[in-house]
Amino acid sequence: MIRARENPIAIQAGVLALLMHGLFLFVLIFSFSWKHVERPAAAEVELWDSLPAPAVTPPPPAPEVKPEPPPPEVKPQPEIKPEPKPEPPPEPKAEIQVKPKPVVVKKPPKEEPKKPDPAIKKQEEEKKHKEELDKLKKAMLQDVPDQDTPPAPAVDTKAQAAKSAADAKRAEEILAASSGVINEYTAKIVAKIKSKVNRQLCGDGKPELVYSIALMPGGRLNGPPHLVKSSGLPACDEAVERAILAAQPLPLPPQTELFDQFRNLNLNFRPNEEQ
Amino acid sequence: MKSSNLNAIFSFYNCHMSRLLILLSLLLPLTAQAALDIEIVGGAAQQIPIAIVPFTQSSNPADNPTVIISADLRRSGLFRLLETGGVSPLPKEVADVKYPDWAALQAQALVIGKVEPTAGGRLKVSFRLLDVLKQGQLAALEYDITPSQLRQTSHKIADIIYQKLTGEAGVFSTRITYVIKQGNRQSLMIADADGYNPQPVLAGTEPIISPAWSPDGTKLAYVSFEKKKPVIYVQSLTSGQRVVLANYKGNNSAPAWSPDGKKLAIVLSLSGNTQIYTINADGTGLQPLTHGLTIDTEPQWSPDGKWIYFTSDRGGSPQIYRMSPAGGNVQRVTFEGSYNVSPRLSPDNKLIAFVRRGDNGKFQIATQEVASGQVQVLSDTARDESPSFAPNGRLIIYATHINNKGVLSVVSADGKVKQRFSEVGDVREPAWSPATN
Amino acid sequence: MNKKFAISIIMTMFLAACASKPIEEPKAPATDNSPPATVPTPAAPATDSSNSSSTMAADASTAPKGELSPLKDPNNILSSRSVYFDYDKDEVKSEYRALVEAHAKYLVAHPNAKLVLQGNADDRGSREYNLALGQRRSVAVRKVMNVLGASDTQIETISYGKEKPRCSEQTDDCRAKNRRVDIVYDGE
Repeated sequence: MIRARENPIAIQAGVLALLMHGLFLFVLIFSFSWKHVERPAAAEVELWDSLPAPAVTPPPPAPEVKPEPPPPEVKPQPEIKPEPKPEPPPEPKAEIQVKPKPVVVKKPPKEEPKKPDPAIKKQEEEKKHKEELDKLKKAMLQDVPDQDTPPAPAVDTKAQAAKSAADAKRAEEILAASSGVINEYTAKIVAKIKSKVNRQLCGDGKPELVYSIALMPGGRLNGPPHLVKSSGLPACDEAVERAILAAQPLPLPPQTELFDQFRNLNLNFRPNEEQ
Repeated sequence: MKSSNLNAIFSFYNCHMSRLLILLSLLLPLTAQAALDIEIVGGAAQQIPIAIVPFTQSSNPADNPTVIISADLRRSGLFRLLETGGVSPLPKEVADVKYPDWAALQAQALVIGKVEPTAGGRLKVSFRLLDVLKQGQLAALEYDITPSQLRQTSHKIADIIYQKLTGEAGVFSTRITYVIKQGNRQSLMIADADGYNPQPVLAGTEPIISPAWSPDGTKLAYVSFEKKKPVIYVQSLTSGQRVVLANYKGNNSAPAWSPDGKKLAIVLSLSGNTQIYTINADGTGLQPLTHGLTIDTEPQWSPDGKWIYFTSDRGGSPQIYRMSPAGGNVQRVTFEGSYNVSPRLSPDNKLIAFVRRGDNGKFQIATQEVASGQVQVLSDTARDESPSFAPNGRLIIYATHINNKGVLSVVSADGKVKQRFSEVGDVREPAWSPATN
Repeated sequence: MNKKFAISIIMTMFLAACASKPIEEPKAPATDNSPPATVPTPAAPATDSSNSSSTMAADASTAPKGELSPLKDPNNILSSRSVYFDYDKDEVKSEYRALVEAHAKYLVAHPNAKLVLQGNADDRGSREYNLALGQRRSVAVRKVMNVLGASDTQIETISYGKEKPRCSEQTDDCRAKNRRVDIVYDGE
């Protein structure tokens, strides 16, 4: 009886629930800037093993405001909250959590520089990956209403656009700085090994050979070099192997969090070519 | 619907990440497991740094193989000899070797050894070649010899060290021949590849030119003017006996052995013109290979026996040509410049060494790649002659003039390493022996 | 390095001295001809050398007793024995035609006389190629002689290439002296 009575109500309740969910979802979806983006077949994500160097000098925080994503249920109008400028993009200060996402409380920016210092273990790294990914997503979510919220005042939109542009620029600078360090030490490794390669033992052709090596944090090899591709000339292979061994310790950046970039190296040699 | 939400959110994320992705893509893709790809093009090192611990205390090469081995390796141009004084005590046994000491000197290889007297006045010479980088042994040998064999044994040890570290055969146990002029006398000499221990083969007051080693290294063919005209002789180095190979009317010169040692190509002016013939090693079976009114001379068999290279002015100026060993199928080989003579083939048949007269009028040793025709001038002197390859193809010995006096010079076939190693008398016409077995 | 050269020099000098093993070239090849005439007898009448050679044996340089062979007479063109050439050339220049003609005529007049034309080249270039260049020059002189009637049975052409230079300075003058053909009669 009750069941019989509940049924129609259950159905209506269900529909209402669905409607509310739908409204929520509608708001969620359509209150954000919605560019019809062609979804890539696979999401390409660059994962960072570690934080960039603290050597990055953050520019002084500009008094820009960053809107927070609306609370899922009620506020279509995002509230604007100041966000500290000098944070690297993977770790924006997310103060508002979006519901479907896991909650991560962000530490104040001052603690950011300290983060890279302690030794990074693998679990921490993976956790970091996840955290960074989330923060990135949040940054995106936070960015989104900046530009496209229809009811936002024009001034606000401009400010918000400017802010996200500045954020992106900051991200670029920090990325550039750490990639600069990596490039610098890659070049040093190349120079040191190259200075020991004796190409007189590599004949007259254009041999190519590849060694893979594993490094320890001091720059010494962890195990012997592994010949992935031979030049075809044993004396050339051996000469290049000697060059690798003699170049130890290989120069590595002082920022230990960057070590993982250099832990495994694929060395591609073309000893008879001029650079 | 939730998954579609997630997809939507990911889409937003991607759309804004695109800017960052461009930047991030400048970085090498990284995970804890992926390897950093590094390109290393070219190589700056010229020499293998090696340390040779003295085998004995003597500085006399007659007693101390180290002196001879060091000189051989240094002369090859492929090794940098390191001072061993910084390590104390110097190891005599493998067990005494502390690899970090040697790595600190930048050594990549280390040689230790001993000379010990044994019964009957004989000597035991032993050595080990060690890899400092991998901390292992590459070679270890010992020899039971008489003291008079010490120099020869030292050269053998140098050959082994060279071969282990470069992959190429060493030539320290080979010999050279050359003609030395002193006053009005000329002598045909044979010496060790380092110039030591010269022995005369022929001596007199008339010129001697064009010595040529038989492929088995037991005979020399040469041209002597002792009969007041050029005549070709073949002399056995083991017995000292010689025979006249060719004394036809006019000139007999430029003997060149076939790779199997059974024939020689020679040059006669029998017909009135200077032309190339072949003849059996016993002097029978004379056959003309070239004909005509032009000069054809300086025949040289390629080591694979497929061609006879020669000098000819049939094109109007002296250039290098080649023909089949039976005499047909003549092809021109050199096209740069107006004077290219004296062809010699490298043991691998890939390179021709020759003498060219440059635009500056200088006669210089050059090489030309058989396949590509590319020419490289190897010397910077002005009156070069008579290039001859070492049996491993890496070095070329030739004659040149310094202060109007003939000297011998050695250059690596790629032109990178030069060494002048003879200033004794007026020397000319060098030829490098075949490999010693 | 230098020490080794010094040792090498010393060793070579010692070895060159003791030629026990090496083959010693025969000394200046002994000829079976009678000794050449030497002292001129000014007062002696000049005997026609062509008469004497018709009765004598092979040696053309032998004069009748007391007479100077025209081949050695400094006043006779036949005592000039060298024809000089331009660089890289083997043409007999007109200034030497008279000389070549004189020797050709001598051969015609003395059928038993024989000579060798020794070609030479200057020091530039490879020894074997210069041997061939010298040969070209001696052949050129022979051809002129042939035209003038001299028979090839009386002429041998050989070359010394650059092995018998008269001088060794690196000057054009010196080189010009080395680009030559020398006429040498049998027995000289």
